[in-house]
Amino acid sequence: MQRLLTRLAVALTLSFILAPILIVIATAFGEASYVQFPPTGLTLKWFAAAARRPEFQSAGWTSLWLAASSTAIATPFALAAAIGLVRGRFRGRDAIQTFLTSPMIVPGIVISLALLVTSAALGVRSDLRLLGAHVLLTLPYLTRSLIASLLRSDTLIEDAAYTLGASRLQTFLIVTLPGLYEGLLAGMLFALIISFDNVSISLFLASAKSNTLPLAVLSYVEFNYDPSIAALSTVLIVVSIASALVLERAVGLRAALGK
Amino acid sequence: MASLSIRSVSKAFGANKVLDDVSAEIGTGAFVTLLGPSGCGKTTLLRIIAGLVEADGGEILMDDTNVTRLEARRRGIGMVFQSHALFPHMTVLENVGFGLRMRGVPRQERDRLASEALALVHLRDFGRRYPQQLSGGQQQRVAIARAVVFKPRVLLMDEPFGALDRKLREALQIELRRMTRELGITTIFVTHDQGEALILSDRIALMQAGRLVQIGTPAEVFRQPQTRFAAEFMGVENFFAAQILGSDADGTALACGAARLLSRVQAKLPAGGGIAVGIRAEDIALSDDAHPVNGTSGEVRDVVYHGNTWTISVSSAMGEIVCTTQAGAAANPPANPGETVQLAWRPDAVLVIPDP
Repeated sequence: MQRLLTRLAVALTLSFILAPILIVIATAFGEASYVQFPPTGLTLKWFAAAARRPEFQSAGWTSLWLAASSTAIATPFALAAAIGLVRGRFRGRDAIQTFLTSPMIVPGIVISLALLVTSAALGVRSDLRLLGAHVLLTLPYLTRSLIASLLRSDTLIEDAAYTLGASRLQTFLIVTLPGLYEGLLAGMLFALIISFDNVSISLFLASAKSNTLPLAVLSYVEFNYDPSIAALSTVLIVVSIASALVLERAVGLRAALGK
Repeated sequence: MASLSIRSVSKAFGANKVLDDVSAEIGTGAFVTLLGPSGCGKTTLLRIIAGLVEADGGEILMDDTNVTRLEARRRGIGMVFQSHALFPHMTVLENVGFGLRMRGVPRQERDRLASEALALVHLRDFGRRYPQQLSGGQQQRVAIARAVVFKPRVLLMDEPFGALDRKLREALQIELRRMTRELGITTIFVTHDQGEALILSDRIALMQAGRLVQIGTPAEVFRQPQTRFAAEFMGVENFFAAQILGSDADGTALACGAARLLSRVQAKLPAGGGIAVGIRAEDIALSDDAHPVNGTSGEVRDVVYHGNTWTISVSSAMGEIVCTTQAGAAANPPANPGETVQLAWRPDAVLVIPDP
């Protein structure tokens, strides 16, 4: 009896989380020219329609470029920060660690406003300020994930490398870095997803030229309510699940989350 | 191979003084053990010799060359760590060949030498495996091969067998002894296990709270501990305060309260001086002789069976005395609580400890 109740609770919770997503996926295949559930008919035409829309195309490229370049820029900084924070012994270490991860805690809207005001005062170009903001956004996830890997790695193997004749740089490249591969991969995937998915910061800082995909979706929905939006969402869901699977296969989600 | 001089080395971590003016001379090819309880500074001393920790004061010399300021990687020292510290993403062969790779030895030559080193530790066929595919004992043997393959001038070992079970530990101790003598390599071995130190060493350096309290051959440290701490650490259970009555080449006469003791040890101290006397539990026997040369009588307090031995606690005029006797096949205890027994020990069992 108790087992039955537990199973029921699990089923209800899962359906609460998954049902809306499944409904969106279902509506993407409907014939009707508006979002309809349950859908009638079966067609792929909304996927084609979404792919043809120029604003989705350009926004999609912008989002991809933004996610890739912000991750690429943030990674070396995160690596250096993580090594300093884990291996270093200096005053204010904990404070810096908290500060570095603060963009995860401070409300996105506050950061967005702060960056908007600051970049306007400094006269930063709009595409650069968006990139800068996304570097800031992704940095804490990368740092956190790398800190977790570094804490797990054995410092004695670095000592062993030194006694065997390796320089500090050789030790880092040949001994330490390969051990961080899991954390690095997980952190970079997270950073890509976080950047790609972000609305609030992009909403404040993007210009008409640098519209991101979530913003394009948002403004499209304001005036249209056809299933091409559902089709686009379905593609994004599939990509997210695929990357989660890659992560799980490569390193295990537990390791990726830094637990 | 090199000789090693440790001269007045000191080290503090914050307010915690870990090493206090430690000096020692270690000859070429010697096997020296740094023995002491945890926190006595032995690992820190080893890491200073390796160049992984910088000393606050003092010097380290290898073959009369000062290496105090030399980087770890330029010292040519092989080191084995307690947690083997193998590189997890490299094969066993790559691990062993790492030191050669850093010295620019070409691949083929490197693999050949690494295979030879693996053969030395009986792991010739394990080169293509990864460290986590090996047992704890095998991992530690790989770590030893990795530390000796590039012919280091000195080999340092930091409690390398501490994490292994007793049987494996004993097998590796015998193997290590054979190997280091075969290679003639100067070795410094850190342990807190006096048995391990006695088996392996040419000389034992006993450490306490950042100081070197005694250095000598295993027999010297075992039979002639110079301080109460050294005696306790080498397994002496019974201590008595005593006065020297007189000493000559044959031995020393001592007064221990009303009791008179005779020791084979020449005290080299003036008569009348206060010292301590130590006697190992296994050197004290139950006796039928009512008036032995050395002995006392007392009441049995407690009798404990250990399988091979019995431990008997006796309350005597000299104080509480613990003695152990061989149990043999007999199932009955040699004495019972409340019984009065006579204890006796030979003069060469009486250790004179100048610094109580």
